[in-house]
Amino acid sequence: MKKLFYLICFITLFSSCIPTGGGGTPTPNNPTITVKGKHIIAPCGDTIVPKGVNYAVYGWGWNTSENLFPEIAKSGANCVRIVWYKNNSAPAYSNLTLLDSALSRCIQQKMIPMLELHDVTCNNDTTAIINTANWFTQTNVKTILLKYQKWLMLNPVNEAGYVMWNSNNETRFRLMYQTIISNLRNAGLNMPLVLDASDCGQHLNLWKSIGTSLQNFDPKHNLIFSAHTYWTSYANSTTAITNLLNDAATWNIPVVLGEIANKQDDNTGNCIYTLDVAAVMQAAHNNNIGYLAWVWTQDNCGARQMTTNGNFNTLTSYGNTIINTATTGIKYAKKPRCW
Amino acid sequence: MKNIVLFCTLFLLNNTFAQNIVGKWKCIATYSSFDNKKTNMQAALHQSRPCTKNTVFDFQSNGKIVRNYSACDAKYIETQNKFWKDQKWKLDGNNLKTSVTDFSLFNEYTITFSGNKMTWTNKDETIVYQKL
Repeated sequence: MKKLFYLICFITLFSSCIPTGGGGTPTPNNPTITVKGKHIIAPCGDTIVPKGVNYAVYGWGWNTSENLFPEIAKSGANCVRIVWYKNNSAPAYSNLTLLDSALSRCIQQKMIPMLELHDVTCNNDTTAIINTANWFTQTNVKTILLKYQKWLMLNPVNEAGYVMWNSNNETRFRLMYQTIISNLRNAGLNMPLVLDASDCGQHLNLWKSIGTSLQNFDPKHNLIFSAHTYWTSYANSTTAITNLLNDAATWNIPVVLGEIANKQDDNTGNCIYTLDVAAVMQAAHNNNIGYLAWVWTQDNCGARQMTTNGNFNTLTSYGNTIINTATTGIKYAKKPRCW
Repeated sequence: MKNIVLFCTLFLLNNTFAQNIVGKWKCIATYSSFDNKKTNMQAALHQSRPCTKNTVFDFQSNGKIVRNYSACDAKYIETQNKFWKDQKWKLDGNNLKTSVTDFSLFNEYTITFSGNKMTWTNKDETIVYQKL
């Protein structure tokens, strides 16, 4: 009897570890993250909602020995938006080994890296913007990106291009992104491209007009549409934020908020406008829209740092809100099913 | 003499009992539901950036809102003008809408006038202007 009991236990235990074979649905193993409708799909087929932080690696390029990914991982984040520069005097950015290392360390901590170029932030020079994005197609850069393509998302340019501030000229902005998409796809980069909204990243509603046409244009149909919620003038009330994100969830395109924050600065060194970050988190959560908080550490605005010095045990009040707010915080982020 | 009295009376009425949004105003208070409408965020802004105390909000009859930050530095003015470019207002009874996106997105308030003050309220915020 005892033997029979052990046999049953043995069979039960091991049968759960054996692939189901012909009758079951095999787990996919896609070469990159993909999108379907408004969903972002991890390589193993599960839907993911990116929730995490922005991190200017290596102390904005000046501290080449800095590695805060293990500290960020303690937050529960499933995604890190990594700030990088094509041209910058800080030493890290000219050393692509350090880029390789940053991507590797991020993935080792089971967090999806979203790599962004910060050079043309709030710029409206389309030639400069397209040239900046072409950095991703350089052979030495591309080699690194392809190495991590299974988990990598590319955010070609941060907050570039104007629409509202350029007589609502959507066509110019759309054509700019069509060029960037073509250049990156022609280089063999098939991972999701995360496109920042216009007008310093704030114009989320733009994607309602041109998101679907860009998704159709992309030969890989693998675009994610981002906005940064510096919405002092754009959607400055709980109601406006909620209405906007509720609406965004109906556009049938994947939307993320690449930067959310508690403060908006005026680009002159003062972060004087308070933003309702809790409302953004709640509305994003209600609609399965991912978000990435600005910023883990080292900001011109002290109140907008999630940690004082980058270590998890120095969480600020703002960092605590982003991470620990019940159900909406990043500690509740769902991790991808496989790595 | 009569004319002077009449002129003074009209001038005082105009400035003391403003009932029309059109004209130049100064924002003296913003209370937000972020902190249960406890803190006057406009006062905090004035404290951290004193030049903003002199900002003039011109609600024009064509529906445009033009902000004049003349006391602030050029960089600040340039940035603010970007963010608030094309801001508009629309009034229907006491229902006020403001927008920077030609009303594809908007904030909605109930507007009231009292003396030389104009107050906008909704469940998220209360904003008080004083007639100039």
